[in-house]
Order: sequence, then C-alpha cells, then structure tokens
Amino acid sequence: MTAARRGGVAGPVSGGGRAARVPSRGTGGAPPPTDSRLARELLDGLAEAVVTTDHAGVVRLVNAMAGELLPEIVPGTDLTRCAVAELARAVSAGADGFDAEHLGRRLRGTRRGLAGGRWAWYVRDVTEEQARTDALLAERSRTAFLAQAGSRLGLSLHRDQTLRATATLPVPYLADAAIVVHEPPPPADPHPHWLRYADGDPTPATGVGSWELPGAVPGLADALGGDTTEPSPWLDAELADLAPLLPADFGRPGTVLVSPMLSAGGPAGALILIRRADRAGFDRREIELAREFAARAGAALAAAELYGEQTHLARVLQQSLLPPELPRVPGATVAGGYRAAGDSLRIGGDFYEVFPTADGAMFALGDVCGKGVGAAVLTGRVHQSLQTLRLVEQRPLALMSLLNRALFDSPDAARRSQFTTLLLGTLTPDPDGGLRVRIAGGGHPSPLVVRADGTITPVTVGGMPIGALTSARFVETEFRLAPGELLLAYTDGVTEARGGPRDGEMFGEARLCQALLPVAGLPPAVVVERLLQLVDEWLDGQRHDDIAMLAINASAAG
Amino acid sequence: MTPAGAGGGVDTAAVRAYLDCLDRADQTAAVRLATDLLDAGASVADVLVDVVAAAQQEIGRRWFTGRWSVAQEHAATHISELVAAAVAARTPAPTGRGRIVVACVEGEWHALPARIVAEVLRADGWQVTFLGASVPARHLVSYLHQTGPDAVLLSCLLSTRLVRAGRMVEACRAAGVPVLAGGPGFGTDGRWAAPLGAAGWGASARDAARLLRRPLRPAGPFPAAADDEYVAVLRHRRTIVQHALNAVDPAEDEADEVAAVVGQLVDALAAAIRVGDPALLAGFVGWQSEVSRVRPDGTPLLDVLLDVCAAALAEHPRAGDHLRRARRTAVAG
Repeated sequence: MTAARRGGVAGPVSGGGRAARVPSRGTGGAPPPTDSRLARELLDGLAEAVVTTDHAGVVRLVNAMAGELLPEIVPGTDLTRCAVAELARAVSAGADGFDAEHLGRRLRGTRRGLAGGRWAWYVRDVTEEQARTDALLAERSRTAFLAQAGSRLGLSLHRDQTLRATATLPVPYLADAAIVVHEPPPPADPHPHWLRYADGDPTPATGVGSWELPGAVPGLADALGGDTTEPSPWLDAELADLAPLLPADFGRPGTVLVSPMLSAGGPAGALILIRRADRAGFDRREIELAREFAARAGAALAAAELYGEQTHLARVLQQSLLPPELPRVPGATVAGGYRAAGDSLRIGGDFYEVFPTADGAMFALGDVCGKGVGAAVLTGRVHQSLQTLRLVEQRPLALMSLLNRALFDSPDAARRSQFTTLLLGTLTPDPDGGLRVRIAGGGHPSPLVVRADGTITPVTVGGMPIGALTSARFVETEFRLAPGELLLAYTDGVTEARGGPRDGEMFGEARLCQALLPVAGLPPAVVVERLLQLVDEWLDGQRHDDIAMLAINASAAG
Repeated sequence: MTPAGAGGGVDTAAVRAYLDCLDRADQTAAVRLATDLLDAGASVADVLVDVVAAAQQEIGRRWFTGRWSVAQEHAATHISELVAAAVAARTPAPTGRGRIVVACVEGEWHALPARIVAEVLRADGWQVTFLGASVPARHLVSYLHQTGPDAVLLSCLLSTRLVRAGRMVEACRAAGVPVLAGGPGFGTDGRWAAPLGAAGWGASARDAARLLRRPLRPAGPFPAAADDEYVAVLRHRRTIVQHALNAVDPAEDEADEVAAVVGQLVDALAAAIRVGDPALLAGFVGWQSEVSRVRPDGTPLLDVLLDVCAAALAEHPRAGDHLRRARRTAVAG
C-alpha cells in the first residue's frame, strides 16, 4: 500500500518488486522535490507502474515500469477503453483496485485520488507472488487430502470398507470417477472385481469383470502387475470395452490415470482415476499425488487382508467352541448362558454341552484353567474327548475317569499342567414329570437346586479337577427334581465376579441365591438371562473371567 | 402407552388379545396370534411394532406401578422374544440391501426392542446381525472389523448408560462405521444422539427402516465433549457410593439396592455433563422420585443422595450446577 502524499507527482518509493511504506515525512522533513526532472527520474526508478489520469479520465503520465507492464497505455489513452479490460472496468465502476492477467503477467493495481479530481493508478507485477501462493495452497490441499486419506484408510481393518474408502476419497478432488480393480482373496470368484465411485453417487457400485478387463484399459494390466504408466486420453475404441465400468450417465471420459496399489506383499490392486472430457488432464503434481494415494490405499488393503485371514482363523476356532444350540430333551427344559472374558476373540475356557441319550440326556459344564486361545485349545480337546467317550460310556463317574485318562495321556499334558473342573451328569425323566439326576464332580463349584417350596440348596459333589493327576478321585451323587424344580450349574466366573457398587466385592453364592429366588419357577432361559444380567450389572464393565451357566428345569419343553 | 398407538394392519383388539396371552404366560397362544396376523396379511412391522412392542410398553407400565413383579415381566418378555423368533423364522431371506449390525449398549439388558428393530430391518431386505443384550465395546469393534457393515444401530433405553453409549459410538466411528442411535435413552426426542456422535436417531423400528433408506455418509469429526468433567465425576463414583451408604445407613439386605441407585445417579450426572444438558439428570431424578412415590419400599432418600454427590464433587462447578437443578426437580416432584 502506498503512503498518503500531496502535491506533485512524486509517488512512493518502492523497491525489490514490493511497495515499501515510506511516509512523506520519512524524507526527514525536507521539502518535497520541486525539480521536475528529478521527479521524473524518481518516478521511472520505481518497481511499480504509475499511471495518472486527469479529471476526464484521460492518461496524462506513465512511468517507465508502466511502459513495460502496460505498453498499450500511453498519455492520451482513455482508461475506460484501454486494452486491459479489468482496469477499464475498474475505472468505469469507480473501483479502487483490480487484478488482471496481462501479457502473461499477473497484475494488481490500486487507485489513489490526487488533487483536482485526478487519479493515480499504481500497478504491481504479482506473477511470482501469486505463483508462490498458488503453490502453497496446492501443497496445503494436497497435505489435507493425504491426511484425510491417511485417517480414513487407517480406520477400518475390513477389506470392503478399505476398498470403499479408496474409491470415494479421490472423488472429486483428483477425478470425477474412481474405480478400484482388485482380486479378492479365496474363496471368492477369482475374476477381477471392481468397485466404482463417481461424483454424486450415494454409494460405490461393485461388479465382477471379465478376464479381458485388465487388457481393455490401457495401463491396467501393468498396474495390476505393479508397474506405473502415464495418464492416457480415452479413445473411443476403448470406451466400448469399458462401458459397463462407467456409470450410465457419466458422459464421455477425458483422461484416465491408472496407478498400482502397491503393498509390501506386491500389488494389491489398481486404482483407475477418470476425468470428464471438460476437465483438464492430470499435471505432474497430481500424478504424484495419485501414485502416493494409491500406494497408501494398497498398504491399507494389504493390512485389511492380513487381518481378515487372522480373524478367519480365529472365527473357525470360535465357531467350534461357542456355546451350542441346546437340543430338546425329553422331560426337561434346558438353557445355557455364556459371557466370555473381555477379550475381543470371544472364546475362552468355559463350556457346556447337552447330548440327548436313549433314555434322557447327558450334560456337561466345565471350566478349563486359563483364558484366551490357550484355554480355548484345551477346551476344544476336552470337548472332543467327551464327544467320543460318551459313545462308549454313559455313567457319569466312569466317563469322568475315562476323560481324565484321555486328557492326561495327550502329548505334553503334564508340561502344560492345565486342568479342568467339570460337572458331568445324566437326566432321566420319571413318569410323573420329575427328573432323576446323577452328577459326577471334578472339583467344580456345587450346582444349586431350587426346590418347589422356594428353598435353594447346593448339591455337594466334590471330586478333584481332571487332567491334573492320574490318580485323581471323583465322586458321584444322585437326586431327584420334582416337576417345576430347577438345577443350576455354573462356573466360578459367576460367583467370583468382582465388582459391585462398593469395593471390588465378589458376587458370591449368597447373592446368586438371592437372585434366583424371584425367578424360581420361570423358564430356564429367563433364569439364565436374569442371572447374566445381574452379574453383568455387578461387574459394571470391570474385567472378568469366563462365565457359563446351565439351567435345567424338570418339565417338558414348551 | 395405551394400545391406541397401534396402526397399520392391526387393530387394538390384537394388542389386548396379545396382552392376555402374556398375562396367562401362554407362549403357544402368543406365537399363534402373531403368525395368524402374518397370515392375514399384516407386515412384520405391524406385528412386532404395533402388537409386541405396544404390549411390552404396557408391561413396563405394569412393572413400574408394581402390579407386576420382575419375574412376571421377565416371563412375559421371554414370550415376546419367542414370538420375535417365530416371526423371524417366517421372514424371507434378505434381498441384499446391505449389512447392518444391531447391538445394545453395554449394560443394556432390555434386548427385545433392539431385536424387534433387527427383525423389521431384516424384513425390509437388510442383512442384519443382532449382537444381543449388553454388547462390550471391544466385541462390537472386533465384529465390525470382521464384517464391515454399512451401519451400526445402537439401542439404549436408559440415559444412565449414555457415557458408555458415547464411547461405543466413538469406537464404531473410529472403525469407519456410522452409528444410528435408537431408544429413549438418547432422550425422548433423541436430542442426546447428535452430541454423542450418532448419525441419526429413531424411536422405533419403523424410524430405523426410514433412516436407513437414506444414504449414510461417513460423518465429520467426532463431536468433542463440552468438557471432561464427566470423567472426574466417574472417577469419584466409588467414593460417592461409599459416602452415600454411610449417610443413608440402609439395612444389610437393602444395601446393594441403595448402592445401585447411587451408582445410577452418578452415571446420570456424568451422562448429563457429557451431553451438556442438565435436563438429563433432572429427568433421572424426576423418574426416581416417581418410583419412590409409586413404590415407596426400599427407595433411598433422593435429596440425601444429591447432597452426598454435591459434597463429594464440590470442586467441580458444572457437576454442582447440574445437581442444584436436579434438586429443584426432586423438591418439585
């Protein structure tokens, strides 16, 4: 900005391409120059163009820089009709400034009023300044784009979510439509799959391409192989092959840029960016940005694939260990409940099982020591052994001893020193609707019986944990459930749940009995649900051990 | 709520008949009533929202007014669960609209409303996974990474669980999945859903179906809490409970219940600060005074509890402000 000045033609002193702020008093109080030659010399020495007009708007004076920046404007020119359209408009409109592209330069001018209705225009060449600002803004938007891309791509570990982010992020910033071509891991169809997002679409579209697809798009086969190619204009001939990949209303594509989505393990796919014909092609900077983005997307996709494989393994293990759907049992209603310790795998060491037999059913509820995958593996072994051994032995006590030997004989069982507490029982319906129950115990908490009169008594079973000692001794007990009476077997995760509104107290057997009272007589599913709820409330989000329970009611299933 | 809220393809008589089945704990009749309605042309939403959910609201009222015991309420809910399962068994396979996960906030054990939402959406063509009652945030997140659904529907019936709901919404969004909030826990008009970062809120299964028909785009930055005083409040939870038990000195067999109410009060206070709305705590206190009016047995003195909270949280001005306003509600109630 120029400083205020009066009288005479002397303009502000400027240098280095920028107007310096030197107020008129900056001359140290000396009188303004009156020598017109000196004034002219000073004026021509300015790095800023100066043009003055008279009261009628006709140019009276131009300095040397004006001759360079605005050669068309000479004394006598009517500025409202001058060759610089933006300046002419500004003069006509009485505006105080203008910005123009003129003769390959960016010009910025400001107007100052002079005495006698005259005006002075100061015009600067801001070409370089503008270029720097443009570059800075472009760099900022590029950084913002990559930051956003980084955070969105880092969000999900799921392959489809990552693919969706990869297709949506570059639109519309980098392209009008983006297509990710990828090959999903087995067991999916091995044809190339694609996922497309075009500007204005609500969600990405997906499809499966033919084997010819990689050859149909110039550069796609290279990108899928990990090589980069230059962007290419879209030719009519290729359009025919690719029509199914583009939205019906997309119109004629202009340029295509294909980038490999590289990851540590090789190319994870390819990203096709498409611009409409009316949009400029990709410049060097945009190509680099597209490559960088595709590489990040490739890395995210590879991470998601790895996670997918891992969770698939975990899921297979989980599926074999998750609590089973319980079968219908003659003369009894049974329900199970399970809450795995707070890990994200949802598998652990507690289990229950009910098998129908010729004259009733057999049930098991156990707790393998330890947590997580290690415990889950042993749980699987106990499960499997039980499944097999019950075919040859169905008396609880004898089956328990067999199971103990089977577990003890398994390789390196001793070294692992893992043991299991277990309740193993049979249910035999009586003609009157009651149930005869026989339970063998292996060091497990005593199950509870809720009698018809509302009393709750533990059934003492005892015994030693299985899989720990070859000479382990087990005991067996037998009792009867009258119609409507309930047997509840549970693991110590229930009674040893630490929480409560006060200081990390254990839930305990007393609270368990208290909780059972109001729900006695209701279907076992309701009892289990209620108990799980109370224990969960007691825990109030605290970490806990696996929790399992099995409720058996002497009554025909409804 | 009265059965007059019923609409669509069923009439109020169906709700009365259904309530009658629940009253008699006749699960066979309840299931038959529902399947007969389907056979007569009613939609899944008609049956589950207008009959089952409407009846459940009446049951909630019966429990609240002490006409029904917890056990009766549980037994009736169990039957409605079986009805929902029977209706689900007759729903044709999803038509591939997309994948949705329905879960209850950790600590939320009223799973039936969420189950109904799941079944209505399934009937609407969505592939739905219902994760059930009280879903731990870690389980939910690992499930999201495994399956990559289009959205999570999070059900919360009690505002005292909103701090946890907020954490779950944050976790889902961090996994790149938008969350739709459901249930009165987010406010009867859903006003606390947005401050917790949910992309939308619905009161019923029909709302959920409508919300999902519009595209859900990944939301902007997670809305920050006005301040983190709620964290400090939660840190004091145990101390406050202990102080309250000392102050009230309940009988041994009532101690757990008193402690639970104090815990909920602290949770409601933390939730109110989290969403920045004193009306939340006032609402909770108002409801508690209503409970103590309807069922005077074993309910502690609210104003004593509010005093204990205020004393323990004297250093926290926002908590103090919320407590003072809630106290006026308690007095007015």
